[in-house]
Amino acid sequence: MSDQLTIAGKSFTSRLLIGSSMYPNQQVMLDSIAASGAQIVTVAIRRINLQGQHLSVQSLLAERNLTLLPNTAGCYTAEDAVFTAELAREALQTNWVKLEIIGDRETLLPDAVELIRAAEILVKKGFAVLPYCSDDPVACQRLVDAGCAAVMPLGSPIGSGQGILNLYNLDIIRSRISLPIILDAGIGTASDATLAMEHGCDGILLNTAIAKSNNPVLMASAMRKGMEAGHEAFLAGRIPKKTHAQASSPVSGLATKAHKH
Amino acid sequence: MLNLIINGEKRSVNAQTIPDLLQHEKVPQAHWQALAVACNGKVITRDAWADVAFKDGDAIEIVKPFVGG
Amino acid sequence: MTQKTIHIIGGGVAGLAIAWRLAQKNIRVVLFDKSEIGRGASWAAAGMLAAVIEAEPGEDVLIPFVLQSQTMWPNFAAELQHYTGCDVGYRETGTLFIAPERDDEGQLKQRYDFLKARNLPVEWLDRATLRKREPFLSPRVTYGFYSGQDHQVDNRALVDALHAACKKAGVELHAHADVQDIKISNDRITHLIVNGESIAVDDVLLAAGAWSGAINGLLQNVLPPVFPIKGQLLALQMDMRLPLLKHVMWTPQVYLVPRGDGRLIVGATVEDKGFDSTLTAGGILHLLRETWEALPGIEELPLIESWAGFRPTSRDDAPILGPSSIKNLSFATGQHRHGILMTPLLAATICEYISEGTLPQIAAPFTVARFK
Repeated sequence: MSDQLTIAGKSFTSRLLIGSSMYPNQQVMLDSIAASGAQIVTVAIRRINLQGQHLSVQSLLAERNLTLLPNTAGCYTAEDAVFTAELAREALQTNWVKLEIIGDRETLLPDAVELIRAAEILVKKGFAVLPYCSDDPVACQRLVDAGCAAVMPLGSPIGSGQGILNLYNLDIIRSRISLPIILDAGIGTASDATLAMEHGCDGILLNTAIAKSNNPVLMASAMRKGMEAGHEAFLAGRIPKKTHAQASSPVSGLATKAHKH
Repeated sequence: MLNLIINGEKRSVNAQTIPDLLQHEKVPQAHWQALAVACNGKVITRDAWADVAFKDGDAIEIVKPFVGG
Repeated sequence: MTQKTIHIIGGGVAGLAIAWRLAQKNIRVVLFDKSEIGRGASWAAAGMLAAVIEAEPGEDVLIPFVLQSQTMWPNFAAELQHYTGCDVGYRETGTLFIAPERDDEGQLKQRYDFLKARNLPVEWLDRATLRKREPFLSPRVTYGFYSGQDHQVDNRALVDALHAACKKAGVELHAHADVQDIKISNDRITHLIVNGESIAVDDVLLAAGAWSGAINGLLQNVLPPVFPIKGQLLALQMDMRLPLLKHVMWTPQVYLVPRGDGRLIVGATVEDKGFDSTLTAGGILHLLRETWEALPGIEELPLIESWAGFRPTSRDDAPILGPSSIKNLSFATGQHRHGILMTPLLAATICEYISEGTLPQIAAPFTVARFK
């Protein structure tokens, strides 16, 4: 299989990365992941509580042969994110990390300065860094320069479901960056996923659009199909848009009704 | 007895090492494989868990994967 | 031949209601609770009987079960009151679902569509109707919907009533009786070790709520996969001459339950924090802020209580009922957020299972076998 998503030397047949949060319950989460076809699932790293046991999401996911991608959600500085990534590496025995450093609690937009700083440190420490970043071509380029394994620009703010708000930026990022581009955040429905893939994204990371749907399992299946359609359309290449109509049937040779004289 | 700060909480525990502490805190063995532990901001790799002896006042972080996006 | 005895672990509403039903069939019941009777999730709950409004995606198997239990409530409450003389505060207030913020409106409509698609009886309300029913709503609230069959019960009064019923029916109730270990031989429980004393048993029912998943003496593959999901709640005292709220009311963030005595119960956070019962600034802030957004008049009300409890939660948020892999051990746990609502049907089905040996059809989807 040549048409695979390859990040940091690892290949996946699915181009969807899925979050594990906010599903109505764990069974729906597991069923949704299965229906989405995703092979990579994001998890957060948090303190255990010393008063009793937790739901063990890790064992449920690991039993299903899913690759777990730990995130640094909740971190506001490079130092916190690096520490969380190091803990994640130990907990999950992976050097992959979704680097997420939020600069604003209200908009949940990424802090580019801290992100680039953390990326540089983590790359030196041997991590494969997948940064969640703004849809800013310059920030994305700086993250590539820092040695990241992919870039993950947002389509619109986390959980907003507003789709891709700046396709122009996304196109520039695609034209400048040859590393995998994973659209992360903002997907609202399947057509958003299709659009991202049509514009050349290598993959999509999403969570809320599936987890908070009235039928998460069905939406997961829709996302899978939408992404496949978009990716195939991208590979095939769309026709250029034209100002005027162009008939799709031959114009000559139309039969005419014989006139009696 | 050692005075430790475990996940931000001050506690007096009768435990010298990470395995001691996990047993003392009744963390089920089944959960150990997905834990990570840091002592004073330094991650302790699993193979060194039994080798690091806690000192009074050490700050211990014990984390594991949770659901996340 | 001596009649067999049922030992129940857990004296919440589930354990108590099942004990009462069994005792009514002249079965000897001995019940142990590790603390006071009925002071776990049964005490911490808000007492909503909201089979309709609380229905969620992924619960198509659960919905018929909670709907049936809901229909049993009027008679169950009446029977319990008749038997004990205790009023359980069953009130047919109906339940509203509203959206106090613009971003909530989409969610409100999505919930409504979800319920309608399942033929659940909800009614869309415009601003004027909503305001007529609840005049103290924030002026920003523009829409809502109403469920006319989701009512409430005072869960603490229910605990007291079931406790009284069990006593009257001859159940042997033991508070502060900690089941420290369980002795098993040939796939049968032979003894429970309770406060250091070994007690020989015939049949055992595990109804220990969130604690059911970590009972000493049962192996991991025997234990019901139940975990605690923490909820923080608080209570405000409304002025009875001018109650701020008459119906049970939901927003996408919190629910408000007005009691007959003027208490307004506000709940609840949903937290995966083990058995940590700490009340947090963030938790209480969340409850108060979201309540204030919907009902700004709460500013003047006394804050009379705040507490935390643990929902007994399984992987699919549905209960774990009936047989286990141990021959004489059965389960009544995993009620998640529906423990009070499920009580009448849970008691009926588990009583039948224990006394007759067959699990009624309505409970059949909820055995632990579904997780294997």
